[in-house]
Amino acid sequence: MKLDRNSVPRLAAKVRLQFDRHSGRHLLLYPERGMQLEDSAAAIIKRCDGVHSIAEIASHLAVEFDADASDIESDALEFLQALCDRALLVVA
Amino acid sequence: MTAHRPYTLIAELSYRCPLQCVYCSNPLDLRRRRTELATADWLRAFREAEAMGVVQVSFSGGEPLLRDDLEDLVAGAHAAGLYVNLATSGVPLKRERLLSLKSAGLDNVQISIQDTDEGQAEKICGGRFLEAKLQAAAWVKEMGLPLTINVVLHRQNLDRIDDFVALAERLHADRLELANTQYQGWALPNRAWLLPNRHQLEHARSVALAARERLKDRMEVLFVLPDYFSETPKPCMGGWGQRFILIAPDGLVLPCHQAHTLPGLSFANLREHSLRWIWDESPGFVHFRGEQWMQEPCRSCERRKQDFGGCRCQAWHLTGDAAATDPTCHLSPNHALIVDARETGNGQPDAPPVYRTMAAPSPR
Repeated sequence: MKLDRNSVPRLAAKVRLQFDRHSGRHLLLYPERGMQLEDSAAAIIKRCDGVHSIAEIASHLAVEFDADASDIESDALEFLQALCDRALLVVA
Repeated sequence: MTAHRPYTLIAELSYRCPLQCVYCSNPLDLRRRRTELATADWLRAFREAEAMGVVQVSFSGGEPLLRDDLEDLVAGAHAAGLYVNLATSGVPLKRERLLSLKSAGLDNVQISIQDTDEGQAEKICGGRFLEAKLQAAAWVKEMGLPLTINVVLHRQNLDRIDDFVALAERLHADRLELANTQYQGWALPNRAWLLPNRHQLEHARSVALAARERLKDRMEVLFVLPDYFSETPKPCMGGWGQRFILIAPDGLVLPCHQAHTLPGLSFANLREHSLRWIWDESPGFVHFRGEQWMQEPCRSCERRKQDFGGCRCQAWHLTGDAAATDPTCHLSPNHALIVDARETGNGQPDAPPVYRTMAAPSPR
């Protein structure tokens, strides 16, 4: 599945986003594995709710972090595509 | 926070099981089967494990569904914040029970499939269970729970690798584990019957890799070579006492499934000590942690931080020295043991397997 800015992503059923109190970072947990997230990646994942598109997520983050929306959008698209290619993310 | 953070707890709830797989790693020693931990012991273990850094728990066994308190254990692990995986044969599962387990906070269900051919599966596990397993898998998906299909591969089923992939697709599995037998426990006396030849393995690997690419956005496909064919040892458990804690049904706390078979090591029981003390300080966990114990060629090897010298149990069972380099390593002075064993996969007639029953002699 090739994602684009209009794709509406959410985490796959097997994946859980969890704050890790030991490292102060967020983790993606899925069977037998875990992935530690940078704060920026966790901010993106938190908004993957199956309702908002990648473009909308990026524009929200641009306002929140006072950053360039198109930069955020291309970073988010690349990151979410990588998750999708590992069956960790699905599109609504 | 401890220097070595455990991430995963393997909770072996019971050695009881309706299956008698010829490659099982569980002991048949009756003294160890008699006394299973109480519910409260397990609940304490989950809370302590979480405080030490554990984020996942895998309920396994034996057959974890044979514990009447499984719902309470799932709820307790979930309440502690752990990602909860149930590794089951699927055989005793009832639909109502799965609903209860889901309500209790179950995150993933892993069902073992011995073979897609019922007669062949019966040769492996001693019964005709395929239909029950497929029904269990269908319920898992019906309830919206993630499904892992686990297939232990060996000479007798490797040629049906395409069928395993097709079955997992048909069941809409979220993860497919195609893991070759590791020659520990009962797999060791049955090695000549189970060990594949290189041609079978290469075919299976190419099928698995093609499936992984084709299904990548739907299903995670994992293929694990037998370490007998890899020339470098597996990084067993991610290193001794580095990432995994295993608690056996009787409360013995171990770095891996087989560690209790090593001579001269003492392991502590959850009933008598805190999990943190056992992990940080108990002699059994400390013994092979890090590199101090290593001999040559491990001690000066560049790969020692990647493979940790391989598997201590395999070193002991094959060479008689638990601190030796894992003989699967091509640098091991005992590597001929592996090379010779591999020849048994090349066309010798199949001797019948030794079944894992109380009457049979226990493997070393």
